[in-house]
Amino acid sequence: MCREVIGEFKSVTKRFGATTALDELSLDIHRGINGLIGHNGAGKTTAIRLSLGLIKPDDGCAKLFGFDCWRDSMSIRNKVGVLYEKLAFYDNMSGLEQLRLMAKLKGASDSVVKLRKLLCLVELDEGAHDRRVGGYSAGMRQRLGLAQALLGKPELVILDEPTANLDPLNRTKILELVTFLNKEHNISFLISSHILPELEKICDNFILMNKGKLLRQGKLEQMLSKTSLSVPFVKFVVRVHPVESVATFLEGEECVEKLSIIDGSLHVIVKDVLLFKQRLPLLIGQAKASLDEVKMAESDLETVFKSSVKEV
Amino acid sequence: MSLRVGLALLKAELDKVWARPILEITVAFMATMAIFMVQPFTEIVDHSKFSIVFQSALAGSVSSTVASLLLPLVIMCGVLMALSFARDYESGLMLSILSVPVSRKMFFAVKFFAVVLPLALLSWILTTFFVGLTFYSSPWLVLQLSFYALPVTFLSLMFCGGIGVLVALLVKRSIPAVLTSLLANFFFWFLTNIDTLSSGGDSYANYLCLTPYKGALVFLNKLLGLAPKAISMTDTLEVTLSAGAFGVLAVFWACVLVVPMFVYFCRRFEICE
Repeated sequence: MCREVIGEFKSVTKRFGATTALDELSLDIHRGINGLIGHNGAGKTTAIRLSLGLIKPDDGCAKLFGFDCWRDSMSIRNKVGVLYEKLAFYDNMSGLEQLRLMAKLKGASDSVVKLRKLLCLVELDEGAHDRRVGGYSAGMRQRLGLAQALLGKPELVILDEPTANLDPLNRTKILELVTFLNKEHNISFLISSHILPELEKICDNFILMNKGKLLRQGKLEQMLSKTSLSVPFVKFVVRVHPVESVATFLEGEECVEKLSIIDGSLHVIVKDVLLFKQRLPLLIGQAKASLDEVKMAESDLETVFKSSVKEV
Repeated sequence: MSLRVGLALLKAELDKVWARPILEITVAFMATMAIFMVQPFTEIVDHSKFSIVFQSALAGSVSSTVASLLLPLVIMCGVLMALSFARDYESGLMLSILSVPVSRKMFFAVKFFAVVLPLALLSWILTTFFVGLTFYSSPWLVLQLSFYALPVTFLSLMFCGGIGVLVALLVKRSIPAVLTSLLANFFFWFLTNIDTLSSGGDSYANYLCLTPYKGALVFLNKLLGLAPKAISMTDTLEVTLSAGAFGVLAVFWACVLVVPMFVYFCRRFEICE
């Protein structure tokens, strides 16, 4: 299914002195959950700021919801909520006051009841609502920032490293919240993160950047099929019982490069990931074996990302 | 709608800029400077000349109080303005606020006036208070004459704030911006305090009366009807130019940095911290 494009960059270039932050970058932002991936300095943050009209492109055209990002940035900001990696608030205010101020600035409802509900939605303790933001922990600030980004029912929420300051449990909760908001409230997301397995779980469109350029864009399966041609080795660990019979079946497979049994598990080096994923259940059935676990030594997205960067 | 937004942002900005102990320090600093500048009226004069001499002494006290308040105003305005812009840029608060539907024009105006307006009001209140303590018998006259101080300090603060914004937007780092703004403002303040009689006479006076703070003070003196003290000849600019000309000069200095900075911030300034 082809999702609606809500934002597009066409050959956007942005230089800071001698450094080229964005180099003729062209990409599409789709309705849904978009993952923005790239090394440090790949140009992700510049692209985000440019999309909100905080930076002027030197060349090219960037649009969001049909509005020019520099000239019509006010129209864009009415539809977009954003959580930056670097969080800043009026530290002398309480969390609730800060949220109330931002609601006024966004033209959203500043009803205390609604704002408290929003703070509870992002799991900020009720006791912290009336405490000074200056005394908040990094995780609490992150939640307040998220609540701020969700104010006024935005059509698109941009999250720059949304789980950076959170423990694993709360990371999962934030990601569940993102999925919930996308499904139930039709809010689209553009998430920039270095934690690729997290993005892999929730995103339906991926944008891979390197050195200010677009490497790849699309669904994971599409990128994986393209990547499998260029990635010589992807390692899978398969825990099956009995392991030997499955190994026998796998040995003759076209998609398998190398096979070994280590500590009762099959360690398979795969040439074609998609084909391997299709064939493995069939082979296990033929071997009348039971599957306990199958995992990649690295996630699909990490594989795609690493191989794409290697290609450049 | 935009007024509501502007007022909400102004309140937040005022609370931030004037949080403890900034307001207390500013009031104490300004009060210390102002308290010694009011001249007690102890002259014995003829009854027929009393009102003229009394009014002249009162006007002289207003003028000297405003002149003495210029130093704390310049220091506090320079520091707070540079800090307000540079710290918000550095911390990311500018990024956060400008990512919501707040126009750059409003953001700039709110930040600028959150520093300038309270300082102008404070200087007026302190001038009225300290002059009123001595000349309490004519409260209406005190109010009337000290009211002239309000536009003069406001225009001086506009120039001072303009330097603060210019430095903050160029340097973009809190501490260097504060120090640079402080030095730049202090330099212009220093020009107002050069004694023209001992340093070369009227040729210097002709230049110095056109400098930002000195020009504003001459404007005030002319409004108050005071004659220049430190000039030996009568054909210098300070004497020959009218109050209106010095008023125009004060407005020019007030706008010379603020207006270009406003235009630059609204049209060109990029937030790439």
